[in-house]
Amino acid sequence: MTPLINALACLLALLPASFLWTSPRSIARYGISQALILLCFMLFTFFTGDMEDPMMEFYPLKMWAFCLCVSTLTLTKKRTFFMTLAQGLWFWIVFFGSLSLAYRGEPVNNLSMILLFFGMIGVQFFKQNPKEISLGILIYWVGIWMLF
Amino acid sequence: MLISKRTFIKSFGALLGGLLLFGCRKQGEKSLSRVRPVSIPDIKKQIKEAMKNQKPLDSLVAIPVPSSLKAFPNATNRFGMAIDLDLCDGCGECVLACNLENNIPLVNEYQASKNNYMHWIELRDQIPVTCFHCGDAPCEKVCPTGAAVHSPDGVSAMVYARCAGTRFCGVNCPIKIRKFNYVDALDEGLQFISNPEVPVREQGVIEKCSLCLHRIQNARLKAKTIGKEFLGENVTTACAEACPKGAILFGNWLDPNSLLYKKARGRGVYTLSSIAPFDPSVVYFKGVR
Amino acid sequence: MVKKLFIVGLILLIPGIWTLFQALSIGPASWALDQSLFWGTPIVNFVFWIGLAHAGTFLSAILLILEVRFQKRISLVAELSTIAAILVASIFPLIHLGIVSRFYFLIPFFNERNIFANFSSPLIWDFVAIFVYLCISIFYIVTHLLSLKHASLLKTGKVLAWILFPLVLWVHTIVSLDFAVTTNNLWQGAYFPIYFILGALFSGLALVVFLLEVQKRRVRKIEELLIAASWLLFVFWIWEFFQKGVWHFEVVFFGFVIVQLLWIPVLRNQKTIRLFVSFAALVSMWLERYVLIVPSDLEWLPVDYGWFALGIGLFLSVFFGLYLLIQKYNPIVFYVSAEESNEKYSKKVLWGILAGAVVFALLYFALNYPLDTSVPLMNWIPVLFPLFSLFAGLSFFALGVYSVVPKKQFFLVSGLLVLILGGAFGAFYAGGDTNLGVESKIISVERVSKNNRPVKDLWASRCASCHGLKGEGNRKFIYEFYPEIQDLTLERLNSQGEDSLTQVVLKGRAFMNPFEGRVSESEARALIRYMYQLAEEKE
Repeated sequence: MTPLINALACLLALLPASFLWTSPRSIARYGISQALILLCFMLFTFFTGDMEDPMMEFYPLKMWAFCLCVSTLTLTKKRTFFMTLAQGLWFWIVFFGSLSLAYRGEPVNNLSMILLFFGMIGVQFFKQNPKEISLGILIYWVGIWMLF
Repeated sequence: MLISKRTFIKSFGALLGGLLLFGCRKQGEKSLSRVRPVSIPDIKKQIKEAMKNQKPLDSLVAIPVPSSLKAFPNATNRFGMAIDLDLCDGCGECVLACNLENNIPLVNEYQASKNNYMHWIELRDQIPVTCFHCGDAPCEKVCPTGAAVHSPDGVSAMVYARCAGTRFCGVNCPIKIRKFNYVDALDEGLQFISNPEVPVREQGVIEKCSLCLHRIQNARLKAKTIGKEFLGENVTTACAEACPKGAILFGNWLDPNSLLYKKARGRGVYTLSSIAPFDPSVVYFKGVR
Repeated sequence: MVKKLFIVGLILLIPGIWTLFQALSIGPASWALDQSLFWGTPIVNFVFWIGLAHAGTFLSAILLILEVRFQKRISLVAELSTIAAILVASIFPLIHLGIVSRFYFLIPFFNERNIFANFSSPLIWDFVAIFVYLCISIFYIVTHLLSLKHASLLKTGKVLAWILFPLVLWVHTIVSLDFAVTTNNLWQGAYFPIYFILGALFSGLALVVFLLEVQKRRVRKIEELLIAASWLLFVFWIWEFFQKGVWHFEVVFFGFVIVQLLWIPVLRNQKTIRLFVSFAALVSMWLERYVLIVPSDLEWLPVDYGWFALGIGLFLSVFFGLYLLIQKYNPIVFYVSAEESNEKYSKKVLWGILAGAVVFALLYFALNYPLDTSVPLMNWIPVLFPLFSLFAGLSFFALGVYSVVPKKQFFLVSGLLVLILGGAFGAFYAGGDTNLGVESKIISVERVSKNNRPVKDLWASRCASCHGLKGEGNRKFIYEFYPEIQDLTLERLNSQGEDSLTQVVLKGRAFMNPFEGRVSESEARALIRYMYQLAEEKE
């Protein structure tokens, strides 16, 4: 996966993030919208990525987790809580995905996991988020995405 | 209601407990008198049957000559074998020799009908396949009890007494060469005991090629007794000894004086494609490099 | 209905017990396996039932944390189903073992003989995770029942819910790693953890729909969750197709197409349709695991069918048995919801216990890590996190129970528990006989004495490595490992006597290893006579 495609993936993941939670829907409809977004990410990965590369196996999931993370910035209620959860999901996907890949001899990227872990702890300290801090957190996540 | 609910539950509970106890009872010591002598023609017959329904073989790929193990970089020994495919004609003598050397049990008719033989060496498309003693063995990584372990000598060993039979190693072996003892060979009179130095395996453990570990250990003891460093001299495996064409070579990949090491010079070294990533100690020779 | 299903469960247990008996007495040959397929239907059933256990915790603990309103109405049913399903699930991997009595080899105790579990194996992670999950689920349901009387326990329940939240996801993630770390192409996949969690939730939700119908209740939100989960799973099936090119029509049909019937109001409002959909979902999830684990076409044996009777029978009898028991003492318990409470633990207690749990996990790591440094650090986390959870959960639970029950009773019960658990711990710590099995011992020794191999060879192979070929002592070896060796003289041999020296060979003494089982008594005696011979030659 070239840096350019990686950046494209980042943009694609940012796209649905802003209107994920805007209109109230039933649980089933929320589920379907999540599924369709995930499907888009999978199709994107399938057509742009090198499917021989084991790293691609969880690439769309990482995109999805990233998208969910960013979408929490639009929440008004319990934002910190959902931020932690979304980052937890991202961490989960990366950690266990890498663990299983490590048995196949793939290199493990510890730094991204450590950064995500500290992100989970870090957001606890920003209970009231002014715009600047939201932007800072967004940049932190985009940074994790782009660098690793 | 003829019986009250309470009585029903009570009696059912008692029945359940009783059945459980019955199921878990110790089945009594097995006496040797029940062992029906297994003759060598019996063994030959099963080998012939196994050779009739051979499993398919993966493609061969070239690999470098095995060198020191990642896990034991300072070891002086890495025992291994080479099977010369230019000489081998798939006669199956090695399988018989291995069976006799390692007390490999026969299987009952049901298992035989499913092609579940216990042979440590199998012929697949006329090529002998045995445990490749991978340096980075996938079976050892997943064994929960440490029954599948690597010796510093490069032997992927099997500690039968530590095996609980989760069969995870068998699941993770890319060529499925590890054999599980489905039947109690002693009980069913299928056990041929020809070599007192190799323990008889119980029902419920995994077994596989040990590179004739007992022979290696005996040679090591002798070397130690006379105060010499042991580099794998004066020892060979049963299959190598039995091969009429001399196609199987045993030796030490790290000892430049070893016959195996010398013979590898200039030869094409191959292994199965599914094994290639795991640094095998047992390789195939084919053609020249 | 409840009683009827309880009876059905008990009746199903009859073939179930027969299956258990067959499986234990014949061993793994009693179900469909061969020399290339080592995991069969028990593992399929294990993954299926452990998945069913998840929805219970999800609907109870996770929704409690998310403060979803319908959680209170269904939580007790959900928790009970969790306990029953874990119990059923934990049976299958035990039966599946080649030697069932050696199951304790999988418990990661560091023991005196340095035979300790391989922390790189997902089975060890599995064992720890499922054990801790079962423990904390039991704490959670007990806390729930107690909190109906003592509102002060609500805060304990909430903390336990927080502990269960990651733990329940952890369990199925670890189950997925059993497959994802292997060399089997069809099992590999870095997406497996999330895929398995979704599958577990999906099947578990279907089970809860069924259990609520039994109570003649219905929660629309769960049906919606079922639809949502089916869509997400569908997407994962598409991804699996992209990755491996496998597509299982029957799984998709039962697990996705049929579930969509719930969209149509006329159908949704019919009980039979809802039951049908929940069964279809369960069938699809069972099939999904089956096609994953058993790729080859093996002929099923009776035991393979018997697992269904065992699993369903045990689940129904445990679930409805507990249900009837609880109902007997508190008939309305399944319909009332606990009061609200905003009480919280003081920060000191909260952080104190969490810090204690971290210390506990780190201590465990520090004691185990030096034994085998070849295990990558990453592989320790799957063991350490459940241990952390266990410590924290146990502490909060004990603290909560301590505050509401009479002190005398508490100490009596906990004292007894500590005694029992301590005893069990000690027994497992010491371990059993790890010598070769009885049969192998008999065979090798008998054969040796029958062969009557020359005593000289026996000496060379068994004794010479330390005592030297001529009894002079193998200097190189001894000085490396042992302090000294006695001179071999006739005088010394006479002072000891043949009988007692034979016993030394068999039982060992000081630095001498016991050789019982490796040489027979007659051989030991022969060795002693050989020593006399050597001593004479020397003089």
